[in-house]
This record gives sequence, C-alpha cells and structure tokens, in this order.
Amino acid sequence: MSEVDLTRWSRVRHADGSVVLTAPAIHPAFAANRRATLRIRPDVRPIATVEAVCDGLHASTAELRRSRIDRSEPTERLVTRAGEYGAFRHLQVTVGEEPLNWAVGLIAGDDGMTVVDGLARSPNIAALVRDVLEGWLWAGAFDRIRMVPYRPPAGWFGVRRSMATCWLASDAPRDQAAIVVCDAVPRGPAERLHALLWPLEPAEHATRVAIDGAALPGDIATWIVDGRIWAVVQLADARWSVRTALQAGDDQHLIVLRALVRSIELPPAPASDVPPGLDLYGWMAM
Amino acid sequence: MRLMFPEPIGDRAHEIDAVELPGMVLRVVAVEPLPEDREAWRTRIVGPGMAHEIVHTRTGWPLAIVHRDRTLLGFYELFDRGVVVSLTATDGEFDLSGARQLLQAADLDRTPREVVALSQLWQHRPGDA
Repeated sequence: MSEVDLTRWSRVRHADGSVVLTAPAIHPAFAANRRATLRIRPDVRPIATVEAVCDGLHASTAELRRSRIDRSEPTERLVTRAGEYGAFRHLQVTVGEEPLNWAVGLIAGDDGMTVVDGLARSPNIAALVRDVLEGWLWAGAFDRIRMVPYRPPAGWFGVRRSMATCWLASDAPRDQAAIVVCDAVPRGPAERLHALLWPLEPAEHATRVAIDGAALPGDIATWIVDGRIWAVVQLADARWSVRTALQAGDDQHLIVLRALVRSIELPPAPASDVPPGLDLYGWMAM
Repeated sequence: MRLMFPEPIGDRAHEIDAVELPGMVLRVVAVEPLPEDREAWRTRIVGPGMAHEIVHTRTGWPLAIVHRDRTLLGFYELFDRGVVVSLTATDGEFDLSGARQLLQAADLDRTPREVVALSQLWQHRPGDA
C-alpha cells in the first residue's frame, strides 16, 4: 500500500477509535527536529467537506489551535485504488515560528468517512497521507452502493435519503419539482434491492429520447401522470448503473435534468491488484 | 422567533424541541415519513373528530392546523417528511393569533449541514482562497 514503511512508527489508539502514528526518531524524511505524526480516524460521521474537517481538527488539536493556516492550496479530488471517492488538501501551517506541512484527506463511505491527516516539517507528509488514503480499503469497497460525482443543479437544495440524494427546486415548495439522483448500484442482484427503495421504472407508454453529450449511452424516458411530468434516465456500464428521475409540473426542468445527467461519472474500475473482497449481494441471487 | 426545520430533521428534531416562548411552549410531537393518508395521520396524533384547517406556510409548505383546548398543532408536509409541532399555552390567555402566525412563518432551513453530493467534498467555501 504505502511507499513509506510505517511499520517502525509508534502507534497509540485513542478512545474515539483513531490511531496516531509517530515517525521513528531517526527517519530519513520525517525525523528532523520534529517527529512527523499521522492520524487515522475511521468512521467519522457525518461526511463533511475537507474544509469542515480542517476546521474541526484545527479546533480540537492543541498544537494546531496555536497555528496560523495558509489555505491557499486548493482541495483536490481523490480516488482510492478500490474506486472510492475522497478529497485531499495540503496546507502550510505555522506553529510559533515553525513552518509545517499539514496534509488532510478523507474517503467518503455510506454515511461516514475515514479521515487521515499528517503533520510534519517535510512536505513528504502530503505524499504519505495521500498514499494511505489511496490504499484505504473497506470490506465492501469493490461493489458498495455509493454516491457518484456529478454537478448538482445550481440553486437547488439537496437532501440526502437512503441510497439517493433528492434535489428540491430553488423556489420550492412553490415549485414542486424534484430530482432524485440514485447512488451507483453494482449490476445484478443489488439493482433489484435498490429498486425496492426507488421504484423508478418508466411507464410503458413513455417517450424515449437519447441523451446527447452524456459520457455514457442512455436515454431519457418521459411521461405524464395527473398533469405532472415524470422523466427517468438510466446510465450504465458493465459494472454500475445509476438512475436519475425528475418529477415536475412542466417540462422547463428537463434541461436541468439533462445537464445533471451529462455530468454523471460512474465509479472507476478498481486497480487490478485490489482484491474483490466480499460479494455483498450474491446472497440475493440464490 | 421563527421556526426553522433543519434538514435532515429526523436527526435534528431535538434542536427545536421544547422551545419556551412568551406564554407558550413549542414541542416537536412527531417526525416521520409523510403519511399518504393525512386524515389518519391527524387522527393518530390528536384523536378522531378534531376539526382542522388546511393552509400553507408563508413560503408555501402545506400545513394543517388543529386547535385543541389550549394547544395549537401544526401538521407540516415538508417534501417527504411529516412534521407535527404543538404550541401549548403556559399561562394566561392563549395568544391564538400569535401561535398561528408562528406556525405559518415556519420554513425548511436550507443551510447546508451535510455533504449530499460528492462534488461538495472538493468544493471550497465562499471566501476561501
């Protein structure tokens, strides 16, 4: 996993489930006058932005509380070798007069996240934190139902529900339009499980039109129920399927749905050396 | 005071639970998936045969108001959630008009409190460099 050998780092487990590793006193990259530290916090809830995570760690860590932080470095998108999504940021902090490198990252799970941060004089700490994050592996990482990246509709308000995010129109509730973006579901039995929660099957008489400009082939099925427009889009590759739906009083929001669908990315394939892990949904096929 | 429902309200109802107001106390009675049968919902909460009035909040959320003794109950339909709050007089004359205004001024708090889309993970907050 890691290009940096952590086996000789000392480790302390804390009551909140986190583990703090400290570099050996003699270490080619991390010794200097300060021993580098690496914190791993599994199962932090709820999922938060790197900005919010930084704020929380800054407030709760005595050494960082005394520091000045340069936030000019941007947050980077991160994908683990198993195909999970996260984010990463490399910050410059000054504790007293001592300039330090603080690298902070997270991997998003179902409704929690793993947070890893490292503090050191050496900028190499950033590569180490990134390495730990990219190698992070949950038992279900291979085929876990998960959120996928897309551009949310501007001005709409998102609410997270089980295995989906619902977007309410900017003028809700006067405008009762809503868009549902389901999580990516591995092809096969899990699709039936997910459809129990989100039965978004197009009506038989639905009109189907191809989505132009989408990264993946798919069409938009539209039909009318009680004067309201329904539209469903399914994008899929060999491993994953994502369904998206709109319900609205008129067709003006179809353009919003199309733009959103065009921006959807399906989860990347895991690296070839990542073990498939558990077959989470195989029991459903029995 | 303006009653603002946090989202997700199911986990955060305690934030607006039992708020002391001049002459009345506000309580969150129920937070649940929006029932399909609204009448059965009201009956389950306040008992059968109670008169109700269907109105909307100022921002447009459907709201049923039930007046029972020294309590005014509001049944809100917030997207896919049904939320019931009560305003009960604590002393003196019940300010019915004030209670109604408070119920109708309620809204969904759209302050983002959690990540609901992955792209938010790598977004900067306004003001960040």
